[in-house]
Amino acid sequence: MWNFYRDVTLYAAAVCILFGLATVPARDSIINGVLVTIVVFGVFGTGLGILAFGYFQKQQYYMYHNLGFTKRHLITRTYLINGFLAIVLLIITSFFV
Amino acid sequence: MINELQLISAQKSFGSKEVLKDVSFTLQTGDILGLFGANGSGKSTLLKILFGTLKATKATLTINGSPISLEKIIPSQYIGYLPQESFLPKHLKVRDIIPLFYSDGDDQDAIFRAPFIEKIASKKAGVLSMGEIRYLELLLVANLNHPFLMLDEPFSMIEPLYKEKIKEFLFSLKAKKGIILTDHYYTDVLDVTTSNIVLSNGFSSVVYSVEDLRLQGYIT
Repeated sequence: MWNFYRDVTLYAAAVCILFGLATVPARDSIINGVLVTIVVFGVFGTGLGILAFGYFQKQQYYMYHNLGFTKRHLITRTYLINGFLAIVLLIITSFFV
Repeated sequence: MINELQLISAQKSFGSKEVLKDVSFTLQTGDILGLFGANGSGKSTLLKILFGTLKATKATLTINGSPISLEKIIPSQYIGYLPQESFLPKHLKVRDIIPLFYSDGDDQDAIFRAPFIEKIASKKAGVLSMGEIRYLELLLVANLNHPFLMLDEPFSMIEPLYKEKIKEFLFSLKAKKGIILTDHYYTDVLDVTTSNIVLSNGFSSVVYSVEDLRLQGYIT
């Protein structure tokens, strides 16, 4: 389960960091850019990560299935953990605004 | 304990194409059921339906006499499945993959001590030969606690040395599992199976010999 979470979140983080780097210059401050990046990570990041996992590592689902994890189980857990992570990061970052 | 899996009248259509029209069989602990059929006859489709990763148009599955929803197969861990394509993370070393499947040290040791594993333990999965990866995947899946096991082409592209080890291993598993085995290397399959069926035109028929396979049009 954690291996799946790590792989999906790495894809998600990579896409969101690239998005952040591309859009921060257009924002009025770096902190606002970071906040938007965290929101994008929380809302779209996991979905993008799952799409990337399905494209590059689709066969690995069979490893998780043999261990008793359904696709729905893996995706739901990952969404919940990353949603929670995004909220925590938003709260921490908001102290610097 | 003797477990029994019964599939009753499985049907599957892709659009207007009926791949499976009426497939039924029974599998018990100690059985190795050979599943034959031409390409496109529905062998892998049938295994995916049984594993719950593909929805059947209609199918009834019972385990030990109780009906079970096919969506419950994965979470209840009744059936282990070795698919045709390799599924291990290619960037990980074998010694790091084994703990993903087994948290218990003794269970890990059982895999590490299996023939051929020690010499590949420090290699990444992505650099293993076809035989090595297939054998490793079989060991990892088959040693899990599922009472039933499905193997999709375990002998394909495998060198003779690994084939013999795989056959020995399957014989050793018979005492605790019921196994479904499909592969076009029919002589290797017939070496280990206790019963066989062939899929043809969407129906399953029992076969007893190479001659029966010929009569069913699977071989010439």
